[in-house]
Formats: sequence, structure tokens, C-alpha cells
Amino acid sequence: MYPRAFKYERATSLENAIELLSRNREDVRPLAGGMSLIPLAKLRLLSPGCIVDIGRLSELKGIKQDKEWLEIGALTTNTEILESKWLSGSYPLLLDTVKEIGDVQVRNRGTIGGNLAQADSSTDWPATMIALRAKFVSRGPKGERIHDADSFCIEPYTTALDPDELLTHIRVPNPASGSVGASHIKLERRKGDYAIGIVSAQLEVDNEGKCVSVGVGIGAVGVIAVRASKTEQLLKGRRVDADTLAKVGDTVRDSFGGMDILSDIKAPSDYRLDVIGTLAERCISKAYSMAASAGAGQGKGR
Amino acid sequence: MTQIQLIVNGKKVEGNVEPRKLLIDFIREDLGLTGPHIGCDTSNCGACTILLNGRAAKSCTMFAVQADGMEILTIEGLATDGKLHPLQQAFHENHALQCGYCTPGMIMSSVDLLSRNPNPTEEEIRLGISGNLCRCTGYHNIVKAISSVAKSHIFVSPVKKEGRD
Ligand SMILES: Cc1cc2nc3c(=O)[nH]c(=O)nc-3n(C[C@H](O)[C@H](O)[C@H](O)COP(=O)(O)OP(=O)(O)OC[C@H]3O[C@@H](n4cnc5c(N)ncnc54)[C@H](O)[C@@H]3O)c2cc1C
Ligand code: FES
Ligand code: FES
Repeated sequence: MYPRAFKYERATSLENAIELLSRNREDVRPLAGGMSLIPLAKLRLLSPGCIVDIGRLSELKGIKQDKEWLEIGALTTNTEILESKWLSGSYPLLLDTVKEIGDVQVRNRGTIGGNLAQADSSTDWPATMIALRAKFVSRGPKGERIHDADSFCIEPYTTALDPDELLTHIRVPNPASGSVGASHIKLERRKGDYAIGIVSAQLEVDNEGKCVSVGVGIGAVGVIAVRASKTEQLLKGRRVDADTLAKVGDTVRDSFGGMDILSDIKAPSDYRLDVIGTLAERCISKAYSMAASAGAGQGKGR
Repeated sequence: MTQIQLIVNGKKVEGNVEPRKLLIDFIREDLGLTGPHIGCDTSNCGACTILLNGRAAKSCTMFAVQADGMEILTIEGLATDGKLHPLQQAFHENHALQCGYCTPGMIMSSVDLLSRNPNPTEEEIRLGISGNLCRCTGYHNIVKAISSVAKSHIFVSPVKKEGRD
């Protein structure tokens, strides 16, 4: 089906984009890769009167490394991230996550900023950004703002951004040491289908194998992606042995507070809550062995 | 209406489109290129796959205005001098199609795959075409066809290097 007719504006610069959004702010949406916006517009679940195409803003594309973080432009496509030289070394979780996203065509067009701005608990980036304690940079008529990954999504499909504000960059902190382990695990019925559970974790261990930093994000269970704070507390300062691992599932199920749990024909909420514990155990176990062996490798080097 | 200009299968074309016109409809209706198909119209099946600046894209999930100034390759642009492209020939020889509805999209995704990864494993081939559904073949012969092209090193990428940054 065709979307409802809309006014189309193509932004020529970031400033121009913000101006176009402001001028139409009552009924406007920015268009990045369109992999979420266009399907929704075709179903007429979303019918903005004006669409501002930001797809060509080169200032929002690309990845660069800073002293404190890796900075990813919001319009960088998932394919560009997958093929980037930065990923395999210090940022294993980015690579593990982007590999899971959609199919080739979806990765070629879809952008990391669009994925996060969509604020959909079932996509792969939100849980990962929570695990990585990333910061999001936005720009609007009032200037720049910095958001925590944890509080960026307010409710399903709604972010902290104003209608005339754009997400411009994602900042992923550099790991403190070389002993990083990470894993992103997703349960889905087939490739590209909606996720039933997502666990994203990054751990750093010291030379005794104790976790010195822990980040765990959960998607596709609560209506928004959440941090598994209890799980992080459980693991911090400990070696991850069988006893610890056995407690992971229960701590993960404690992450949702009073939040509504997703439920559909493929996976009702009690199933999601049950399976997420198992996924989390597998994810933590994998991330920990990776961190521990990276740590051991480093020790030998020294 | 918005004026657009693009290069389709090596030729410059112009169009005057409503912004909501989908790229697949511009290609099929305005340009008369009916190779790319509409299977699902919901971004899932990949029958509408074309190459956009050298990369596979679902043309049902794009507005024609977004492609302004870009280069498009459809299945019609793959054969050269009346000779089938090696992937087309391999699909024919390996019985990789039955009704043929998915084939134009399937081949364009295979072009994207082999352009980036000339020696894919079977798993990489299956992941590479995971955005394309086939209701007839069970995929077995499609994977065989793609693999035969890779193994015999006869793949020629129609994608110019500068298009793939
Ligand atoms: C078949 C299919 C399978 C998929 N599978 C997966 C999957 O497995 N995992 C996964 O994570 N995702 C998946 N997706 C979703 C896809 O990855 C996201 O749709 C995509 O990343 C969104 O990015 P986009 O650039 O296409 O955003 P758009 O669709 O252009 O925009 C999405 C929303 O964000 C807003 N927006 C976009 N950019 C900005 C910005 N810079 N600042 C402020 N607002 C902005 C738009 O206004 C819109 O509301 C799938 C999609 C499809 C169609
Ligand atoms: S018609 Fe485009 S993906 Fe099915
Ligand atoms: S050959 Fe019929 S859908 Fe693939």
C-alpha cells in the first residue's frame, strides 16, 4: 500500500535539516535509511505530513576513534559498521551485534541512528548500547544535548528527542583494558524475524579473572530495552563459575520492575521471561570465557 | 511532483514523481523494467531487490526521490552483449528456479554477495541470501548455483569500484 501523501524535503546540511524540522515540527519525521519508517508509513501506522530526508548528510556518517570513545555518526549504515576496520579489536560487542541485524539489504540501507531513534525493544542496538554505557549526542534548535543510553528511550517508539532534534553521534566508551569479552545473543524464529529475546553483555576481567566492569542489556522482553542491574551487581568483583552462572537467570528476570512484558502469538510473555534467563546464562558464559582468555593471553605477553 | 535524475543500467533517465512513489513502481511502471518483482510489499521477500550504488536494496522500501542522482542496476542490466551473466547462466544450469518469481531479486543479492566475498562458504551464501524468500526450490539449487560460480572463478562484478565505498 502507498503511504499517505506527504511533503518531501531533502536536507542539505545538519543546520538545514534542523531548520526544516523546526519549520514543520507539528507533523514531521526525519527519514534516514527508511527501513522502519517506510514500512510503517506503508501500513499507515505512521503518516507524517512532512518527511525530511537526512540520508545525504555526510557530516553524520562514518566512525572515528577518540581518546575516550569510538564515535559513530548516526547515519552510518549497519553494513558500514560491519565492514569497519575498528570493530574486531577493542569493540567486539559492536561486531557481534551488527552481524545479527536483519539481512544484507536491511543492513545496506538501515542506519545505527535510525535503529536507536526507532526505540523498538526488539531491535539489536538498544540493548547493546545499554551494555556499553554509550552516550548519544543530539542537536536541535537549542543546541547540543548528551543522553545516556539508559534513558534515551522513554516508552516504546518514543525517545527523549524533540520532533526537531536529530540524533547525530553515538559514543561508545573505549574499554579500560585489553581483557574484554562480549557476546550478543538473540532468539528469533528465523533470520530477520522479530526477536523473542536479546541479551547483550560486555565484561572486563582483571588478572585474577575477576570481573572489573560489567554491562548487560536486555531487549525484546520488556516493552523497552533495559539494563540488568542485578546481574551486573552479581558479577562485579567475581569470577564467573558454575554457581554464579546458575544465579544469572533469576537476576535477569528482576530487571523489568513493573514494566509490561512483550507478548505475541510466537512468544507469550511468560515464555519470554523464562527463556531470557537461559539466553543470559549462555551470553555471560561466552563473554566471560572470551574475556578470561584475552586476559590470559595478555598476561603471557607481559 | 519532484524531478529526479538517475542512472539505470548504465543509461541516464529522468522522472517526475510524487514523493511517495516507491522506487519499485518507478522502475516497473515509469521505466517499464518489470524484472524486479513485488512479492510481499512489506520489506520481507526481497523479490524487488536491485543494486543501488552497487549494494543490494529492497526497492519496495525506498521512495524513488531517495534514489535521485544514484546508480541503479536491475536484472535487465546484467547480461552483456546478449550473453547471460555467469550467475544467470548458473541459475539456469543448476535448476535454481522453478516459477522464477524470486529469481531477479535472488540474483541481485548474489551479485552483492560475490562482489564483497568472492569465496563464500555455504553458510555465508545462505546468510547472503537470507533477505530473499523462495517458495519453490527449497534453496538447495540456488546455493549450488551461487557456489558453482564462486568455485569456478567466473564471477564478474558489474559494480564499478567507485560505487562501493
Ligand atoms: C525485514 C527487516 C528486518 C529487520 N531486522 C532487524 C534485526 O534483525 N535487527 C535490528 O536491529 N533491526 C532490524 N530491522 C530494523 C532495521 O534495522 C531498522 O529499521 C533500521 O536500523 C532503522 O534505521 P533506518 O536508518 O532505516 O531508520 P528510518 O526508518 O529512516 O527511521 C526510523 C525512525 O527513526 C527516526 N530517525 C532516523 N534517524 C534519525 C536521527 N538521526 N535522529 C532522530 N530521529 C531519527 C525516523 O524519523 C523514524 O521515526 C529490520 C527491518 C526490516 C525491514
Ligand atoms: S516486495 Fe520488496 S521485499 Fe517483498
Ligand atoms: S522459484 Fe518460485 S519463488 Fe523461487
